[in-house]
Amino acid sequence: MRGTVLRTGRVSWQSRFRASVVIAVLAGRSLWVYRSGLLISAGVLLVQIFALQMVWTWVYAGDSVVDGSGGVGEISLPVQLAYVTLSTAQFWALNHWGVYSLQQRVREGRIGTDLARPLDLLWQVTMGRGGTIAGCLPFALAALLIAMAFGGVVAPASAGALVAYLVALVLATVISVQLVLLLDMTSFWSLEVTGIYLSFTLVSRFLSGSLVPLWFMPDWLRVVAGLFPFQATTFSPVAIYLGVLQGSAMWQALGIAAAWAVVLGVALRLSWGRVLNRVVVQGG
Amino acid sequence: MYRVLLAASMRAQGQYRANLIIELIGAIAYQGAGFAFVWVVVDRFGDIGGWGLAELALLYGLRLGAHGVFTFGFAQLMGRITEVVREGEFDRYLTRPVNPLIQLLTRRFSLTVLGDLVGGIALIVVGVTHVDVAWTAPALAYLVLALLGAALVEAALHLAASALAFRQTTTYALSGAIDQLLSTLGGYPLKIFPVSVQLGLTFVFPLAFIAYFPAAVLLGRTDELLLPWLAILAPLVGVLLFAASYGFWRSQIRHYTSTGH
Repeated sequence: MRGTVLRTGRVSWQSRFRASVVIAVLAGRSLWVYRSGLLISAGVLLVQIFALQMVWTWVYAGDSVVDGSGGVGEISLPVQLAYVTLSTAQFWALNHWGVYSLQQRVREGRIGTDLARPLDLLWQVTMGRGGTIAGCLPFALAALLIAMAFGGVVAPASAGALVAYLVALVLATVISVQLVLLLDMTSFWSLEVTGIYLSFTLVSRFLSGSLVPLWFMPDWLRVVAGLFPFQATTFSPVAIYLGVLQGSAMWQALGIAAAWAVVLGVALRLSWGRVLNRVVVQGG
Repeated sequence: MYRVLLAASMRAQGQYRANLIIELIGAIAYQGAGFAFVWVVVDRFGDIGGWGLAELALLYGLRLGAHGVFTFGFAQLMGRITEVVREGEFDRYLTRPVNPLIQLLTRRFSLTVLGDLVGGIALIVVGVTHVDVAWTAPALAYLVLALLGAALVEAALHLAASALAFRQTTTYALSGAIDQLLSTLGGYPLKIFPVSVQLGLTFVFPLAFIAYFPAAVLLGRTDELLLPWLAILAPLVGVLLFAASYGFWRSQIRHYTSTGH
């Protein structure tokens, strides 16, 4: 790989691909170093799932189905319980803290070394984030299996629903990573961004449907949620899996998610160009 | 020149103040997600466990306010002990005539901790003004005591977790878990959970004493509790738990071996 750079002065796409994979694997492995913390975090995930199941069981209060809004029809208790299980686990895996944080590296002034590497920094961070998510997946799956043992999961609505779910999940992952990167970029303008982060966390958590499914939100809130990409990260995939979003509604959700992935990707590229002109390296 | 410097100084202060406000809003927003859930569910289903929105606001406000008081005085207990021990700072504490715990608690202070306190008090005010309760002086005094007692319960939990740092266990993840559990479970009237869970959240992980018990007492809902007499004593339980935790902390210091800085 070194030879390639020295000889031609440009990095071949094969080298870039290898470097990307290495970064992703490193990110996942670094996460594993903190596996006791990860295990505790997964334990808390399980508690959250069980708590939400108990809350919703109580809320249903003996009714077997409740009307959902937005034209989805009736939502049975098993479907609602499956929703909270899948959405909570999914949100956890896609939004877990990772060892590589762009914001952290900016604050510590290490971003200089990252920029000096022959691989595009935006791509480095993307692969780092992807590796972190991949590292969380086994734990999320384990939590799902345990929840399933207590009846919290249902089978996919159909084989088609399962396939569509997987597609939606890939889009959800892409959009999640893009949103995190866009947020991290604010750290290039201001080093104190905790407030923005936390506000963003609330809004995105809520509008993504990870706390309450969109079908139980008041109409105006559901409309607002539809305007943002967040619902594509949690609500849409799970709703597709459960067959609540099917037919044309499912295709619409997938189309919107794909559109958001493109829009956010363009936004990332554009703002990245501007950010590079403004790098403030602290300390050194 | 003076004008330039003054203007620069004012700009810097202004940025700091703007930052502070953003931080406060952010902190409130972060903890507010839990109440947003409660609000949406009540909007759709009417109540949770028979508790209306105002009562749930009081419950959540007590939890958030208690967390605010806790972070005001004890923020350093949330995992910071690990780096204090690792970097030899704790050794310096031991050489000084002041109680090392006090030194730990006062090592740093950030105004952003006020966010939870402000948010909690706001919710409490909303709850207090909208529930059907006669707010006599004793009731209000109990409210304040409940807040302080609840902060002590949370402090007791984090102090016990921090004490484990002396045995070379990373407490950061543990403190994070405690914080998450309190946030996740703290906003619900515990009667909606199975009895086994209620007992667990009373005697194993004392969440009930933080908000549910005091709120139930203030709202006259003691008949739905399993142990009403215990609920009334919630603030006292906070003091006792903290004392026990402090005892544990002191016992663990004896196992402390310096990292050798």
